[in-house]
Amino acid sequence: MDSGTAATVIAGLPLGLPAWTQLAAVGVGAVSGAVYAAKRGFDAVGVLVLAVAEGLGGLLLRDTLLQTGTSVALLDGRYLLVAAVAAVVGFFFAGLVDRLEGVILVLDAVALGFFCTVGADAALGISLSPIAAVFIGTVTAVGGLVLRDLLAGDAPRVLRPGVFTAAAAFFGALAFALIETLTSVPSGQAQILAMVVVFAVRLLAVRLEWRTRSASEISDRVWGVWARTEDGEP
Amino acid sequence: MSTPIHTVLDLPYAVEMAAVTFGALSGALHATRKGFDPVGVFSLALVCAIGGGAIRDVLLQHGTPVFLVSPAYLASAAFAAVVGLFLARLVRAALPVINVVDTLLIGVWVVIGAERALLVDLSYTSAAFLGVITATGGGLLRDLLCHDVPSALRPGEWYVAAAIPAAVVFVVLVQAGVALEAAQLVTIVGAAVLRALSLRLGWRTPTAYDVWGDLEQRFAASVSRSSGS
Repeated sequence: MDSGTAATVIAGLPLGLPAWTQLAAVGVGAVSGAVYAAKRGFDAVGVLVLAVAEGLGGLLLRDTLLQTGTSVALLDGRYLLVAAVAAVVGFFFAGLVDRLEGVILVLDAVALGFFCTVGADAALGISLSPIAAVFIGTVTAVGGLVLRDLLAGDAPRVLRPGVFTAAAAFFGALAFALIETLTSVPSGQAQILAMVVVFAVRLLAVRLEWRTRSASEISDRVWGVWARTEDGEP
Repeated sequence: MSTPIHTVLDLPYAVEMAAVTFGALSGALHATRKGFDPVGVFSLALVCAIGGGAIRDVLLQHGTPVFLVSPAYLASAAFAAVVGLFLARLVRAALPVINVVDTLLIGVWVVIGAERALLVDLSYTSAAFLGVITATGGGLLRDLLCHDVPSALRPGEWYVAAAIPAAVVFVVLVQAGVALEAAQLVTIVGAAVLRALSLRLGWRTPTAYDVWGDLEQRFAASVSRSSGS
């Protein structure tokens, strides 16, 4: 098959991670998007569009920001095919997935883990700084979610208080970038470690019912501590 | 690899970093006001600080965006986000200062954006357009992410309306061969004065004027007046 070699050569992104992890990320993300559309009562077109948006949105955003030529998601036809197949799966099995408690949660965590690592990997591959890699990794992971929410006419949920989605992706990307820049661990193992971090943050947050605090509450608390020390000084 | 553009830019690097920092501060403040959590504060701070520049660089298609190539951009924006997160009260107390700086920054962003477009030999029209995009793109993205109708599109305060004439003036001055420093100064001061005037005099950006409907009404009124007499 020359499509595989074409993807790695033309894309211009020297990836440390195997291409299949990117494909897997697209597949899982697209299923999640399709299930979301199905639950919202969208029609077949809506399911397909949201599957493609959530599956490919992150990679398209990443490659657009990195400006290294046409996105892998377009150069390699397998990406759109995987998203389309995932849309069909989501169309017929959304009810089943919905009934299996926790499956969506695990699916989303897997997608987050894949996306944040392939994003950070691509940024490091064109020798950007680790801080840029963390940024790109996080953006790759949440880009599809934001695009899905915007297309569905919802407020992007990543920004609202409550869920540890972007935070999980951020820590995953951070772990991957740190391991890659500070140690000589092969990127495949770094990816597994980063995905464990994503899983830990995401599942612990749900299991222990962590709630993110609103920012004004945090600053009020800091202010309170400061005011108290000021009072104690004189 | 293309050369990093900011090395040949005339506006001092420190000015651009200050612009990024203050953009991030106002984004963080916006998120706090909306009751967002730390993730929201970071996202809006980053979007306000580098959103306009990111759109510009993606449209320019001239290599990886500057904010990714030099880590100082993300670092200053993240630093400002942390300040905005933990010291929101202090930032709110400094709101008058931030508003003044924000007003001055309109012209700064316009100049930065237009210069970068001129550096890659785009036309003066495109340079003006990218100047406006650089100044206003961050706010547009911020409103999209907040699920608000972009304030740039609705009648209200002069922000984009101040950036557009400033961008036009800048490219006209550059084309006329005025010294770059003078053109920069006129643009930055001009945009700030325009916005300050609009705030002081309570100008609102106008909504569409229905010429045909207005004529129709006048005509109907004159007909009824003449038939009544």
